[in-house]
Amino acid sequence: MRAIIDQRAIHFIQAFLRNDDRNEKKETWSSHLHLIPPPRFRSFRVKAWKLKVDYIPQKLDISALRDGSIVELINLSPIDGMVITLSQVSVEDVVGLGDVMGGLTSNWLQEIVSTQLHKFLANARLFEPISDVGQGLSDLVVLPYEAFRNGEDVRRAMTTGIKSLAETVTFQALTTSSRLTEYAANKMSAVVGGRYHNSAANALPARPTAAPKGIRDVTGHAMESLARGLHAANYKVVIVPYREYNRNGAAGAATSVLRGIPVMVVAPMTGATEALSYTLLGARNALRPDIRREEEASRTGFASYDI
Amino acid sequence: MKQRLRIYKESLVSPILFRSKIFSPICQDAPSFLVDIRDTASIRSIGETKGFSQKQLHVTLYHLTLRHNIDSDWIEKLQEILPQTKLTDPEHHPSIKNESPPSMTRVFVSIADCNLDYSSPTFFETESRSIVRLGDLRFSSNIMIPANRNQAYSISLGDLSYHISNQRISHSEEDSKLCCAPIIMPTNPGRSRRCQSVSMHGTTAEAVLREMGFVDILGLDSVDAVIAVTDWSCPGQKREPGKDPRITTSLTFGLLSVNACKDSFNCFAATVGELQAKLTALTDEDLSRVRGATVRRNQERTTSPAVPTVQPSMQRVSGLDSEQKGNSDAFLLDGYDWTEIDHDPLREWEIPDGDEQVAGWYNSLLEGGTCSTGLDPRVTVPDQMRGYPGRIIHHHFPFHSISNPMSEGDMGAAGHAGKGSELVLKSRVLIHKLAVKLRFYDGYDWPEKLNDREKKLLRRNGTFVIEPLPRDEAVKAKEALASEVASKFEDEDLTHMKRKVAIMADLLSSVQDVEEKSPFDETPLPEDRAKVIEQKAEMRRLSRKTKIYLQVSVNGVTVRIDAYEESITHRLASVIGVSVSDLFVAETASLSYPVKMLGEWVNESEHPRDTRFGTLMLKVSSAIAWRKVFISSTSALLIVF
Repeated sequence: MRAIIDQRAIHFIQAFLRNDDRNEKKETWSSHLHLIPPPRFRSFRVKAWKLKVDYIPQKLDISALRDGSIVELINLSPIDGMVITLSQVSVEDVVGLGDVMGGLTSNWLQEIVSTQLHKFLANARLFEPISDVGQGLSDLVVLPYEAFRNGEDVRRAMTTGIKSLAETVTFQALTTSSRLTEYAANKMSAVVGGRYHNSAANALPARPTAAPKGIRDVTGHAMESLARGLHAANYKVVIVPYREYNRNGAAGAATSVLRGIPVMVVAPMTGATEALSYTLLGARNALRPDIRREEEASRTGFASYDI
Repeated sequence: MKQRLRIYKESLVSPILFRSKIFSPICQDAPSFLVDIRDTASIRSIGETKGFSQKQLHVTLYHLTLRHNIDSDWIEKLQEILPQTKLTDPEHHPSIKNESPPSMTRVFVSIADCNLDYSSPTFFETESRSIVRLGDLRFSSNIMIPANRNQAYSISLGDLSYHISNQRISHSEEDSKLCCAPIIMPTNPGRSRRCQSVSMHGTTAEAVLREMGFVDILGLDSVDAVIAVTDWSCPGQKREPGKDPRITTSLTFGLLSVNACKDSFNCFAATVGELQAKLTALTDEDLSRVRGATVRRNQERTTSPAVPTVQPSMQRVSGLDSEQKGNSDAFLLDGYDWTEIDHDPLREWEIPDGDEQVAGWYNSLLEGGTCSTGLDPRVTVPDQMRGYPGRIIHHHFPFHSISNPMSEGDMGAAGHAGKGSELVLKSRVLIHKLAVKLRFYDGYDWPEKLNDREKKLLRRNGTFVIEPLPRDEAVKAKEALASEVASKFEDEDLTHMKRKVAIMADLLSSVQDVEEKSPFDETPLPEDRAKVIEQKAEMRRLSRKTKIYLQVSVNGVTVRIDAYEESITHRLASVIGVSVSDLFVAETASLSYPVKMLGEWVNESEHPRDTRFGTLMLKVSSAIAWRKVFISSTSALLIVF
């Protein structure tokens, strides 16, 4: 399974399932009746399965961390592409589905903590490029060694290793650059006007739902970003001062121009940064189309009436 | 006449089945109950001396409401009133059997725009009223007399919706519109005061229900069911007891959707849960009957030869595996001899977790094709194995099969029942293409029902409406509430007395509560107006937010339920197989567009999937209790296997 978990979604689920404190009345109507008990499970077995997890934290609860809640450490950094393998688990002789789920969850948590805790660190966004490139470097050494030990073609193994390392480095470079530029564009846009506000001062258009398959697919959004940046600058430096001039005269217009100078500088840069970010994303998707399909699958597949 | 009318005044009359008065029908003139019986003339078939009579029975129910009272026994009382007719058994009355000509009765029942009205009884903890609206239900069958070997029934259902309210809305206004209501149902003041009364002004049924405070919580598009009953005692094809059921039910569903906020979902779950508990609860009499049955079963078991117990499912139970075992001896794909499978699966070699695509070579140097250790395909073949083709390169070919693995085999029932067991399939239920969509929204469907305490524990400027206060702030809020309650503690006695007097006054008064209010009472003061505006804004803030939700979608659900007859040779009751082709959980709490929080991992290169099997597959086998049924010290019913 594929999981993309945002901390806000977890909070929403917790709030929805929370039992408000109420004065529980005793169920007197059933006192003379015998209610059917929950089913008894002699054996409940879940076969092995894999889970690829992305986790996006929003806020770190420092007070909970101080109180000893170590699980809050997970909110330090986003986690990307962490693959967890859960082995077969069997829960026996339990009554009710609640106990079954509890047993399964505790078994899996125990397994993750005992065997796969290192993945939380290796796949944290800060360390993921390093761990991936490290994996590529190890392939460069391990594959030729294995080939030598097994009597295979060492040259071919070295070529495979180098290819794997180059692909990993390129992929991580493109992904990291795309994310950094996207972050920079969002920050600059927030200063100027904001991505999702529908106003003339908005220097950033919303990204298309479908991810770009390659460099050719990015031209539309990239051109729109550049144009939007210039449009926002034009709006702040030309149109608004003109309106101020009509209302308040030259003094008002001059003030508007002065206010608009930062926007004039930042807005085109914002558009250009967003265009660059999207282009890098397109290049990354061309290199790894399977990752693109995976990301698209998380945003599509809803029936038309759901949206 | 007057004496009979006086009876009505002294008794509590409740309508059971009546033409709906709160909803406007599509066709005003259509009758509510229509029966057509057509008896075609006997048709003489060519070459036959006796005629074959055909009848048609059409029953139409339109725009009716059935009010269900959980404690009502009107059906039993009606049966007592109606004359009892003894059903003649043709086997004991051969003359009847031989004389009556064969006949076929074609039955068509159509139910349209009808409602089921249920209010939770006052002794239930959850206060609610539910209205189930049925758009269209059709039933048809050809009933043969004498009965044929096979008898089929077809049922189609469309547009089912479930509306719920979190209060016991009074029926008084609706009852007052029924025919002869003033005579048969004089107003009962006590009854109307226990329930909430609302006015109804809307035009469509949905508008009326919304006005009354109902929420449309559940909807079902369509259901098509075909029920086939086979009488195996009639001459015909020989029955295989383990494979051919007596009753086969095939269901094809449309979309089942649930749209609810936190409060409406809790109300719905509690209402259904309490009703289910009440309907399935056992009285002392029922319990003694169950005990007797288990004692008898136990005695039969102990007196009969040793019977096998339920085998834990150590062997593989998938229908596919049993098919493979059965076919491996002579399986030739398209008749080519090189496709013959001449080795059994290698039991010594375990497929490592997370690496399902591994492959390996059989060591044919050893006899029988068995190997003490499996070969790791990722390494070169060792020197002693030279002559083998070389290393294996994995390459997955997507295989799209239209066959349904769940329709084959017995789902491992024979393995569960144990050796020597005689399985007789009683019934089979097949469900095709069920889609379920559960959507849980932010906000509340009944924000006006939230008390001050609940409102104070909600975060005002949080991401969601239902977001609670942080821990420390919640503790402070609770302390503030507690001190508020403590300050009112002294006045409690006085308030209690006042309330007692008010209740007594209500019970004793026999006049309708129509108070003449001053016209100025309805005109709010300026300071009250601001408060009203504030309250309305607060209601809008707390009401349902359609853009923020959590959705659980389950598509392509296929279910097969095989139920077995009771037998002393085994304890297997049923085997259930469930396959879900697509399952995901989506949310819009984090972004403005839906994102799949949990779903299928789509990546053909990292882990290709076999499309024959669903994202989620479940197999459940249930067994009959044979040992003891007893009641614990806490009055809980315990069943020991």
